[in-house]
Amino acid sequence: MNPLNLPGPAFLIFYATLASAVLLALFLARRISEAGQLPVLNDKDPFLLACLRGGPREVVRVATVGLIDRGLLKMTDTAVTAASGGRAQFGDTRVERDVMHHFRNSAAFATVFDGQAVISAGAYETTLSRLRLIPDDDITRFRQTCRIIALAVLLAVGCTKLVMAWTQGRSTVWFLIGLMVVSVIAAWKLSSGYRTVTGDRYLASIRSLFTGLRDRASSLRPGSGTRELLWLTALFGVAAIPVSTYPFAKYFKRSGNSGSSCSGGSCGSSSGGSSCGGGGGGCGGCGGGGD
Amino acid sequence: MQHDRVGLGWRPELAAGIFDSLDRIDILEVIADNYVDADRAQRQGLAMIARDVAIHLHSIDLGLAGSDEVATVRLERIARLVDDIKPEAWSDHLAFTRSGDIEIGHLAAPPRTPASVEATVRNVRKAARIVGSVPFMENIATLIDPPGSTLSEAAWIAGIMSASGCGLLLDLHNLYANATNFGFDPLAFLDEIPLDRVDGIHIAGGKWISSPDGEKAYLLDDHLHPVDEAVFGLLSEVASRTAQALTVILERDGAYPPMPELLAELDRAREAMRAGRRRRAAQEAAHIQTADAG
Repeated sequence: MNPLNLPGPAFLIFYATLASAVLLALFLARRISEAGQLPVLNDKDPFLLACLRGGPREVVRVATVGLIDRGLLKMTDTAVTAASGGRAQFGDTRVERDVMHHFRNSAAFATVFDGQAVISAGAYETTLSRLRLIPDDDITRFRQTCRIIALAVLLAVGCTKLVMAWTQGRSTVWFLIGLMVVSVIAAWKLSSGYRTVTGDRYLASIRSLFTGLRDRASSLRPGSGTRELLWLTALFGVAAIPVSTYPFAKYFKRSGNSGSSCSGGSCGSSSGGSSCGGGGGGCGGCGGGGD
Repeated sequence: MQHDRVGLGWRPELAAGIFDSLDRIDILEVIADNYVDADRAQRQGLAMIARDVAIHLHSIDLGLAGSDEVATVRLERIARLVDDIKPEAWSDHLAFTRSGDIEIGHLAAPPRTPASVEATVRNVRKAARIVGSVPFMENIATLIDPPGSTLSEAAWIAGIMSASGCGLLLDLHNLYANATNFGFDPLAFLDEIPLDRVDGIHIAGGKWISSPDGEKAYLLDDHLHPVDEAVFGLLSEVASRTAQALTVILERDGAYPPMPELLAELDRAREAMRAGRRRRAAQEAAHIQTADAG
């Protein structure tokens, strides 16, 4: 029996089932093709992880936060200014130097995304792609192939039925059109995503190790000389910075472009886990033993 | 030949500092109890660290020195964690943490008797069988001398080491605190325990507290303060008395100082170890010279 000859409600059930099967196949194809052992990163670089979380723009945002914390940049609600007179050599990394150079003359924060810093931050994407934490050429091609096949099946079956319906003079096709639109959007999303499945797992794993840092974010000390704020922002976004301690964070948040944990791609990762801070401490004051 | 290693207890609060300082940290010790119920991401995170740096797993709550048989389900949870993270070694305490269904909530020293030696050995063997490797057992600090004891702490520990075949995780601050609180010589303690069975060493800091009547001061092992110089002295002493490579872990459980201060404590531990090793080498050289002259 040709399913295209099914009456309206029965065809809708058939199409919903077909769409579910296609989406499931897409999901599994990604899981299988993009899975792999989590790589060992020789360089524990917060900028690399910032890029994994949100792309090159996020690297620039994190670099700016780090430079402000070090007192090399000053931020107001309208502009960012280099406190050192824009001497770019103060940056440790190429991206930081580019950010410093960009703000050698006072400029609105958003303008930094039009400058050299974002291009320099693209180097992190090359590394992530090599590690298959974001799609390399092979994965990108495979995704495109899967997407084309999925969309072709969904559109071909749906459109054929629509043409049949219209030629038969029926106009009650809006449920089918709605179902097609939803299915196509879902297929597009499932075959996209900034990170690979391994990339999502890697980010979730690293973030789960830093839950303690996020939990004690309010106790971080500005200008402490440590890179804790850098790690916090790289892994959890500007939204994780406590405004009470770091007032400049409100300017990032106010811009509505705060680099939340889900910016730049699929949100498959989670911060994960409990805050198992410390533990195992001595048994203070209970009269018992300490470990 | 393996070399002495100095590392730090993994604490999520210190993650950023640890990640930035892995070139100065030889080994990390992870508290097993914090991860037995961890989700997949956390376990993968730990496994990822374990591929970068050696990891020891340190359990707190098994109560292997209790008179009750340790619950199989608890050991199976540790076994799963060991399987996921693949640490170099794992350890627990010479303490009991529950009696029947009553959880004590801290590490308690059992009466030091032949019966508690036997019970501990039975539990250590069961733990080794289920987890797949023999745990190192750590001496604990106590503010109360366990009533009913017939053995000294050193003799009790030596008995367990000998009968179970486990190695000793020697906590030098616990030793220092017990010696201070009960008035014995820590060096004499080192004479009595099987130092050749020491695989790992803990160092930590503590604080002075008063007894309820205010008449006596006790040293509390709280892991919240810098390591006392006396503990580094004991570390040097152990290094001078042992031939095997040792793994030293700095434990810090709160009031975290800036990372450079913790790294400085690790450097101080390395320095103490080197001083002890030099002393041992000098003693051995002198011994050979004496033997040649004879």
